[in-house]
Amino acid sequence: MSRRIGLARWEALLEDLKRSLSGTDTTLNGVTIKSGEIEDCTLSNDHTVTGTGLCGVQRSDETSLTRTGAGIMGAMEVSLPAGALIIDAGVIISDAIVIGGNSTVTVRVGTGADGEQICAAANLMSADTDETVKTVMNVIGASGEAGVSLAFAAQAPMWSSSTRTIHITMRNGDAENTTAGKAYGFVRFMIVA
Amino acid sequence: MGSKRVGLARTQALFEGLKRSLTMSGTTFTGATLKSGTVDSCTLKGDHVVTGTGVDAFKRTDETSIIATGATNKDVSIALPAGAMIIDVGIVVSDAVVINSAADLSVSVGTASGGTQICTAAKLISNNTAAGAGEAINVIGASGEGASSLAFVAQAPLWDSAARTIHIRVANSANNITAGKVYGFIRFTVVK
Repeated sequence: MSRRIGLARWEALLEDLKRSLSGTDTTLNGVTIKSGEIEDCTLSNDHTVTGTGLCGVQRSDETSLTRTGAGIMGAMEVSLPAGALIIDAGVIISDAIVIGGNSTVTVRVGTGADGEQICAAANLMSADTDETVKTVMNVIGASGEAGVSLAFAAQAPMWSSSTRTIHITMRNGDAENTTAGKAYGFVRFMIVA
Repeated sequence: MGSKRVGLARTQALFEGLKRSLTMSGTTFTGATLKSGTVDSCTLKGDHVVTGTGVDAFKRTDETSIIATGATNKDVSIALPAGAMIIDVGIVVSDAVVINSAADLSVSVGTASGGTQICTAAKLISNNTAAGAGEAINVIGASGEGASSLAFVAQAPLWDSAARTIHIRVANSANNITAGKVYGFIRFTVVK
């Protein structure tokens, strides 16, 4: 004889459990845990922070930096959620940069394309031909071949109540050709309100 | 004939025996604890409270009006959990600050109201009248019109094994603040 139970009965049973369940090897997809606790857990893969209390990071796609002559090598964009206060920004060199002759490569961060509203241009490379893979340049102290970090501009619009796009731009200041190189742009942030 | 109702113990056994991937979009577990599991590719939305190790966290004050007449101090505070190490602190301007005549607007941080045990005073506004919405001043390099950031005091008590309250002071040197709101905030990591 069937012992099938309906959804309402199943819901009532689940809500009445109030006990510790061992769920090893069980995955709940698409579930929302609300006003509960996450205890001793591993945060794996890609998460999106849109709420308060945690610090988040968003990055651009991996971007090729190859180009002919002077100009923009990489125009990277990062979307921030509403209420995000920027706490760091920068680039990660994910594939070594190779340039045909000594060049100055800069990084800048702005609220518009090629803008410098957040961080004025600073040198990642200074009259050199290559930058090593895994190099990072950001505001909190990481620097590249040139030995300088990014810095937040005075009165920079660090926070916005609205969603917005932050632009991270790398430029070659010299006429030499960039034949190799890839980077990620990133912004670390926290939602204030 | 006996009851055919499925009881709690049977429900628990069925649930624990699942060991499979369930698609439960639209399902919300309210008040549940997820323990020793994996949180995979989720959106972390709403307001979270971090009391454990392994992630950077932050707390903020309520949005606070700093409108005042004459030289004044606006004090706000933030409660930190036990074992928290401060990694940044500051304020963000959420509504543009307007002072009716040039003055200094300084920020300091301490373990007591008005204290400077964490950061001595730094000027968000230096002998001027305005700070725009979105501007911030903190330890990691953000600065306002005053072009100076906060700095941790040498030998500052940045960590405490016990829960404690950190105090942030926004001080106006003179004249009247006719508009302006701020949030105070602290980023921290629980070390234990």
